[in-house]
Amino acid sequence: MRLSSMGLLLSFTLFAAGIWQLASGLVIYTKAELAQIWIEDAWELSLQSGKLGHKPWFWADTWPVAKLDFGASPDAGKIFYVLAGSAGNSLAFGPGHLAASVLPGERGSLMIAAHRDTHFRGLDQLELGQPIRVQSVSGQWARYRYRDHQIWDSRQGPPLLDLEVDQLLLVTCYPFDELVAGGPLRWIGRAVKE
Amino acid sequence: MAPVLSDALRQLRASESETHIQQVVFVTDGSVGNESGLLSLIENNLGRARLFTVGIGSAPNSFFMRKAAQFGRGSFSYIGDISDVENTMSALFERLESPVMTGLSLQWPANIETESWPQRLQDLYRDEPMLITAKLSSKPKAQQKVTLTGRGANKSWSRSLSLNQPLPSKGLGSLWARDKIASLMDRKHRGEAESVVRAEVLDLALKHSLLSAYTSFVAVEEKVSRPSEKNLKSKALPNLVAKGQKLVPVNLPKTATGGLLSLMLGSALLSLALLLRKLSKQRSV
Repeated sequence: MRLSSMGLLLSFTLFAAGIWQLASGLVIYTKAELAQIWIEDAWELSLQSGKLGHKPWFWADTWPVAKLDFGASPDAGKIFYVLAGSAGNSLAFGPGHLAASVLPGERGSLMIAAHRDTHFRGLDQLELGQPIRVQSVSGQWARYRYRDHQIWDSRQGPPLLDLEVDQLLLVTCYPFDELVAGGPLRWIGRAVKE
Repeated sequence: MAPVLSDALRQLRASESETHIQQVVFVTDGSVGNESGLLSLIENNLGRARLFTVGIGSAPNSFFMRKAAQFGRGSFSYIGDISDVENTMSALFERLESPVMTGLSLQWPANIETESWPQRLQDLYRDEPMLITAKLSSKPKAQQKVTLTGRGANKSWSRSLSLNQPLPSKGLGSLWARDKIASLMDRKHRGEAESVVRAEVLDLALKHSLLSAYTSFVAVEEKVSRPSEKNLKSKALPNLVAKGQKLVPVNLPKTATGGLLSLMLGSALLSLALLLRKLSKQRSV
């Protein structure tokens, strides 16, 4: 009798922990997918006003700075709204703009980072010469073509980059199929401006 | 270069004369290949004329230009910068206008065998020194002399040097051997078999500890800096940055979530809980 009540307790605990794990996993993906819908509205407002800073929801601490399009023609292919900042608070909802790089629409290197298992999943499938477009708040599109990638080991410290080159650098974690977060390797894809 | 040179040399031979010196000035800023072929062309066709070479900039092969001038009994001038053209060329033409002596030869005392370099003496121009290295078979006696004779403007000239007071000097042997190696290498350029030249040069270079086409120096550190059982120190070195390029260190963000891991862990825990529940039900039945 005592044994079965212990078993009951154990299975209940396992059940609760399982639900909690499942839920927290689902929250991550749901947030990443759903948030983009509200951010799209904020981006439309930014385009209309010509100014950055329109928050997607009133308690947000970030705002969209660009529209990123991995397709060839307008509104075809995968579209993401890029948020200001590249810390966890931005990356949970969309790709983030690295503050060290230039703003979209300016001359120089534009750097965008995202989680390898949400928005930038499958980025290693990019093909040589694939067009990537970035819309800045002025409404204009900058066209880039995917060139190559490098793997950076952040245990060597930060990479030294020439940010005066007109290019788009996409940053995400590597390897793409790793389960545990927090590894030292980064994948840096380079697309050159047309 | 070959067609130009053979054309010039053919024209010279047509107007050859006993009483005048013929001089060819070869100026180039281009690269010159086929060294051996050109050197033998100069050797065989120059006759009594003199060849002076002028190289401008980094393209001309300095070794060849110097050798060509030597084979042509002239001199080589090098112009590194375009602003030096005037100075160097006017110095060259001044020299060409003032040959001092030609037909130089050296007479050694009759009972001493000598090996002296260079074997064919060059013409002398104004302000030019003459340096001859020679190896004598025996120590010269007092009153023995070496005589240099030549032909100046319309008259012959000679000068005798007494050999009775040789000064001991450490580097003379090396100097003589180096001159001999240079002339042996010239024989190779004139078409002699390399195997013969190589054997002689090697012998000489090893005996006198000289650098040559067939010998090199190997430096061996006497103090042991790293015992062989110790590991090498490895260290990353920053690359050099190209001029005008600014490299900025960019901190990369954390770009992975544990989402998938949570989903898998959650599914595993749920399955385990259900399994446990089933097992305990079976037992109570």
